[in-house]
Amino acid sequence: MSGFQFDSLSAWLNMDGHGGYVWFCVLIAVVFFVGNVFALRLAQRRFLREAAARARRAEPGGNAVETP
Amino acid sequence: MAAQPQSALTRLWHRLGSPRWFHDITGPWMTAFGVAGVLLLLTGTLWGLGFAPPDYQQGNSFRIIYLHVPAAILSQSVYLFLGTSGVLFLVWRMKLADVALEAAVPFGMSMAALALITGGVWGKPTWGAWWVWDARTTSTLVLFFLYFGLYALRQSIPRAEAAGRACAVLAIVGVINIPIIKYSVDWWLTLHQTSTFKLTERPAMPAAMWGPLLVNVLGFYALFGYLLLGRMRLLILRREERTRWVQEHLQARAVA
Repeated sequence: MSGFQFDSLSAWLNMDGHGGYVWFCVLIAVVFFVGNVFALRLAQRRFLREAAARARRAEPGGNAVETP
Repeated sequence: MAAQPQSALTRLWHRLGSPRWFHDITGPWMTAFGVAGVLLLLTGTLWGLGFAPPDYQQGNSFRIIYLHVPAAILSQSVYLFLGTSGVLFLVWRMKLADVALEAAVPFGMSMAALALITGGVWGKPTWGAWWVWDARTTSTLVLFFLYFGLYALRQSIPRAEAAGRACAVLAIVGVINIPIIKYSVDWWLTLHQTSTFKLTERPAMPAAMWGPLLVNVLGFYALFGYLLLGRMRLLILRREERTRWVQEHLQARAVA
């Protein structure tokens, strides 16, 4: 296996002028993955909240009629 | 009277038809896929971006391959997965296949978009243009629109059963695009290079270059597994909300 290819952290970030392109792709990939996980979490939480509300309304003696 | 002998395979098949069974067993799988995915992606990306040798023609811009190629591979395998689920749903009426067909769409669409975006960013320093109407680029754009079509179709049909059938048909018909993407580099003159990984030959790259690529492809698959299971579990709860087991499950969660 070859060793670390760059002399310094700034050389790694710069990548001989190509760093902007490469790191931008990393950023976009992270945004896509985190976005997917976040969207799933949000949908889960919304479903649990709404299902709990539906269950409360369905209970006998529950607040079946929305009171103003 | 002797009971009908059932093979383990038949039993598995019947179980796979049960959303409840699927929901019961897949909780721990999600954790495993999630942890494996994050570890693999950290390893592959650091290895590829820091330790793999630069390409002798493209220099360091070739490192985009470590995100671009896994995204492109996943965008196509997820679509094949949708096509397979479509067949399972239409032919065998497997409920879980329709759940999978709905759950995999957002991730597949993200991967097609990620492949197109990283491809554009890679194309600028390498080909001199953000976008070219290259055969592979164009067919991947079609793939993105197929995903979008599947998403929009599901939203536009209110009856779940009808929506499931329509999406299954679209998913199956759209599979025709996959060999077009795959062989576009051989059939037409394009700017893309041919595949790095082939089943029958050794990779055309040194191991120090393809190693991280393989790790990242596996990492992408693992995160697909995580997100697919998560979305399927949510859809199962949503579709079966009125059943007793879901009500009990929700109550147990609310107490915990």
